[in-house]
Amino acid sequence: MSARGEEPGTLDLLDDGVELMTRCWSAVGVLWVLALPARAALALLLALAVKLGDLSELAGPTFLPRSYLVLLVGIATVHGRLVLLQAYRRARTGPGPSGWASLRVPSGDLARALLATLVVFLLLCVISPTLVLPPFLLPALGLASAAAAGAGPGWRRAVPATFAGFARPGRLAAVHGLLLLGWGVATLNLHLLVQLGSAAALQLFPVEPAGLVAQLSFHNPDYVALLLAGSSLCVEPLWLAVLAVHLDALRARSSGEDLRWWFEQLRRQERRDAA
Amino acid sequence: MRCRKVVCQECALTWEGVNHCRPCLEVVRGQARRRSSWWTWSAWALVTAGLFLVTGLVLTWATALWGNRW
Repeated sequence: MSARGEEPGTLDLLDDGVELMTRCWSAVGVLWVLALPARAALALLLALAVKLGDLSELAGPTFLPRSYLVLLVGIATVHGRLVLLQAYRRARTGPGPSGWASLRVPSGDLARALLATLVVFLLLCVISPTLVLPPFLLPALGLASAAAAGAGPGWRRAVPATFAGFARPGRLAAVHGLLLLGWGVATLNLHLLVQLGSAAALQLFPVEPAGLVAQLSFHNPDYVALLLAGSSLCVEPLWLAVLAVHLDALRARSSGEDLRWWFEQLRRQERRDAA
Repeated sequence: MRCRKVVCQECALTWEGVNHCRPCLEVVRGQARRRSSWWTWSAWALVTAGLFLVTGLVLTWATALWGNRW
């Protein structure tokens, strides 16, 4: 927690994000379960396009139902994100409902998050051929869910609230640079884990080694896409936690909430000194 | 924070991370409790369904382009 008058820095965001994430493991598990189908479907769709290569321009009828499947199962991802973000908010404010009740999210939040996510995803698809612009819009994909709860009543504020999260772009860019590095490390670790698992499987089961090695190599687009999808899921809870802390810091400065935190910090320090 | 009145830290009431004085919080709570109308939900459903259809088509186009370029 930075002192009054100071902007929380990139490392403060990461530090608070990690702390939040470690307090909400059950909600992290919910996100992973709910987001896995959409992530795998998107990865396999992109892998199919890579495998088809030049022919992919003619494969519209093959891609169309798969694209809608990605969007349909993506609704579960948005729900999972809201469950996790709700858990993060409750972890900061005090104990909340546990068990099945924690899976329930307000319908208004879900409506706003779905709408904003669709708008951002549409923009991402439109600018994807440029290859340079999509990374700049990537934070908005998480902000769409993170900003849904505090956007206020009505669904029309969903998109403006999402893009309002782009205030302090330097801090946002720096933290995303670090998260990108984390994604790379997570991908490498996941690959090593899969290789270790395949080596164990070769020892234990009568599997053809050449086939398994070919399947789990970087020459297989399906494997690469699924590996990247899996590692992105590993980083996603931290990404959402960082975005939640970033939005809280933005709102706190406009509402005086940071002053309350600062007072609490001082009081805690005073009590500690007295003890 | 809505009425711009200065309220001491002890009297301020926090709701969704924002400090409010008591009358403002009552207004905010009233807005939150007011049920959204059928028309609001219909408009949302219409806009979201339209976006869903368009996004599916654009995702197909972007995927085809992605495969062609790779």
